[in-house]
Amino acid sequence: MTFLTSPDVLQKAIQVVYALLIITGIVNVFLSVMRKVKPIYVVLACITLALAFFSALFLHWEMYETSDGFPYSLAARIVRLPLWVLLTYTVLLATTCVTGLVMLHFYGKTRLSATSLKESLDSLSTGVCFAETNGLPRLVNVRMNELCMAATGKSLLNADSFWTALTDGNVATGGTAVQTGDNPMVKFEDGRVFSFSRYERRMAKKTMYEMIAVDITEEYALSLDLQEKNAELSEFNRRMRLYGEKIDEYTAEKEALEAKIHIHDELGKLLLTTSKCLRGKPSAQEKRDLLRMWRGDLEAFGVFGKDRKRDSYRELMQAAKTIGVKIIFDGIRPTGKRATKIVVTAVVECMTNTVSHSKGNKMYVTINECGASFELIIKNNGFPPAEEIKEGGGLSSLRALVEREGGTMIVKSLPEFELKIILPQGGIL
Amino acid sequence: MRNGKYSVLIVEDQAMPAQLFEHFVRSSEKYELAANINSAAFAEVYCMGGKVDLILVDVVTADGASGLDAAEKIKAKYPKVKIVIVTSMPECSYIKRAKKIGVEGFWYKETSKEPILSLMDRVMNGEKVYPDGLPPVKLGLAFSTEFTDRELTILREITGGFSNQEIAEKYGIALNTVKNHVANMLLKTGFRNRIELAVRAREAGIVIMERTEDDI
Repeated sequence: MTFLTSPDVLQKAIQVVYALLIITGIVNVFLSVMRKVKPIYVVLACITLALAFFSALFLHWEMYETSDGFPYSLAARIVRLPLWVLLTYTVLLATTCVTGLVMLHFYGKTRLSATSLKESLDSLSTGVCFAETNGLPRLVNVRMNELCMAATGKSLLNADSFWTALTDGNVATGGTAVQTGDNPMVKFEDGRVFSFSRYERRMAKKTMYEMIAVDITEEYALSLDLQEKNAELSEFNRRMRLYGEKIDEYTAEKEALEAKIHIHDELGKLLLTTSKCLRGKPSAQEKRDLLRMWRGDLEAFGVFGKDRKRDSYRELMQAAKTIGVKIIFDGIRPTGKRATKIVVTAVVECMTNTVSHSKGNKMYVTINECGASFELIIKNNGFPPAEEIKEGGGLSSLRALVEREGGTMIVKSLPEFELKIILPQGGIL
Repeated sequence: MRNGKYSVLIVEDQAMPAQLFEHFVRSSEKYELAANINSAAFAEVYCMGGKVDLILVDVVTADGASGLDAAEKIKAKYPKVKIVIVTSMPECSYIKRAKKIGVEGFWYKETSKEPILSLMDRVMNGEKVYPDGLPPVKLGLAFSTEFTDRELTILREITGGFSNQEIAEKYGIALNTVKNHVANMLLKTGFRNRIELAVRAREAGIVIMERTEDDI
């Protein structure tokens, strides 16, 4: 049996099938082009469409079977093929078309399209913009466009101009630039703060810029809070340092009070002792002891209100006197605390060396002002050093003290010992 | 020892305690006064004359001169001279350093029950006289003895006005470790913040930031 000799119903059915296959073929071609599948699949879709079309056409041309020549002769051959061959071919073609249709349908669902990408970016709370190096935006999400509108009053038409405006802080319309430069931050009228950053990317052999805008409202508020707390802490630290200096006065007062309380108690005991003694018949020794105790307590009593006046140079001279050393001062004597400390420390250090090593008994201390600095020179009598002096703990500590004040120290050993210290004046005197 | 009396050098910059010590020494039959000076910077000079048997020295003296530094120098050069450190501050590092230096006695001006003369007698008899422990000082809800060494170290730095970051860098520890120690101290004392903690600690004298030599 052939197509020609088959029942009319069957012939019509086959023709309907081919009509459907044509429609399916058209849809396949359309989908394959729209979804940008590989070219081979587009070609396959076109081939199946062409096969369905021409098959339907040839099966319909049986009325031209008497004509010769292509394509009538081909049509004539097709309609005379055994029916089972035609049906098999039809089934195969139908399977191909339907399979293609199903695959193209699922292809769309498993691949990202440009639309889906845009949709997903638009749903982000972060602003995103991809632009070419000349500023032409290629992909901008809704958030970024909103931010551009809020900051500049215009839509994002040129990413480069927008970035320049951000980095320069020119966001006068709807926000305040809280930070400019490479990582600009803008505070908008609604209170939100966004941080903008830009990165260079290489895509499809082209250089593109990716701009990101992140909402940092909470972090910004925390950083302001932190700045405030740090300022408070710095102020506290400064006051603690000052307090540390004042606390010594407080301690001195506390110690003075304790001493006064002690003397008060001693006087109390002494009065009781005296009273008891006078009621009886005190011996001469007891009277002497009582007098000595009164004398001692009254001496301590006499200290009240006295300041322990300090004169470091007087103390220095007195200390030197106890070991038989005479200090001869020439020049000014600095009164500033720091300078006095350096002079005293230097003289004491040299004094111990004068007695221990030089076996001397005189020290010559000269202090002169030389322009913007003052110069201290210490020499002594006695034996000169036998060799170059190696700085031990004392001289090293003195050097550290001098250098902390921006000064210099020179130790000369030969032919005689000389210590020279040069200090910048700068209020130190 | 001369004329049967030990010669005592007093190094104390506060008038009242200085005169009080002088009074004790003069009123004693065992001691005589070598000198009464303000600054520990001169202590070594007096020792050079060989006329000092015992020194009573405060930790912090005039011009910021450290009594402990002077004691260390004197102990190295004149080991026979006996030294008693006197202080009113319960700062824990003082007693530790005094022991390390090898001074013979340590006396808290306010809290020691033993009179100073008795302590001097024991020291001259060859004893080493130290208090059993630090005087417990109340700090908020806690006593100073409840703090660890590290906590006291950090507290000392805070009273010196240093930030947590500076403290962490100085001791090579993590910033969070410093913060944890501060938090623990606040928990122990019940103080609201580090400001209160630092001020109270400094007032109590539990920790004292050593002044640098130019902070006179």
